[in-house]
Amino acid sequence: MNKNYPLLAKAAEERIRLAVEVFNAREKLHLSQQVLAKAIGTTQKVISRIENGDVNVGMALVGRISEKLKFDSETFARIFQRPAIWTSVDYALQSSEIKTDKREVNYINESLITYKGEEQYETCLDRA
Amino acid sequence: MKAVYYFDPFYQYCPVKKYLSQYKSNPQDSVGQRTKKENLLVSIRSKIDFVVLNQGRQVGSISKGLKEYSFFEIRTRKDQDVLIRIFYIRDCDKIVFLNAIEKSDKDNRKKDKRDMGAGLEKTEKYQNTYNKYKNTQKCYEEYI
Repeated sequence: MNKNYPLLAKAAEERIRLAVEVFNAREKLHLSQQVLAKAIGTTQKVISRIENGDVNVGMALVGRISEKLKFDSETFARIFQRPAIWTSVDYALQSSEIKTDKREVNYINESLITYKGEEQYETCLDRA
Repeated sequence: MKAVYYFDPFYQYCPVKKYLSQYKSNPQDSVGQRTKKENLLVSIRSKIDFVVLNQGRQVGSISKGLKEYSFFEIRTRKDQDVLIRIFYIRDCDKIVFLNAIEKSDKDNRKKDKRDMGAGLEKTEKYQNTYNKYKNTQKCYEEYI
């Protein structure tokens, strides 16, 4: 087996999950590919390729699409197959309100999470 | 559900398997060509796995039913201008990959349209053959 296979396969799977989420959200909002493309400053061809899972999409474009299609943390969790709690914390950490490395974030599931550097999260339940 | 290749009992080959075999990397290939082939095969494989996971149903734009035919298709972009269309049907616990053809985005020419029509007709012929002989002989090969 090719040593790159797991990485390529993971990327392809993420593209497919993003494609399905974009398609479903767009259909739910009754938007055509053309209208969505215009709203986020791209072309219909690009939207079509994203929905076919054929292209790697940059962060900036994902951001614009998610804003227009109202993606929540659950959607991102489905795309990247990570628990919603992680995507929420990641999002919170990226927001400008939080400035230090060690901080506490109120999570929507009413649990308290402490961020202790990279990929170390501790919840109230863990500490109890 | 499992994925299988349609095996033509008359010509003794699997159209989709034969089509995909052209993307196996050769020692003569340059690094770029090899990477391109790998990406394409992985992309197709991921889509097939996704379709199998969803029991061959139409999900998003990944798999679509065709208007005038009773089979589905998986689309994967090969180049900027070329699309690979892989056609399949659902049969009990199997997803049978019937045929694969390439479609150019610039298929405005009469010849391209005629080729596409011929490809679809061929796929329908494969479907009919499969349905006719599936109970009497093995018309498929395992997808690995």
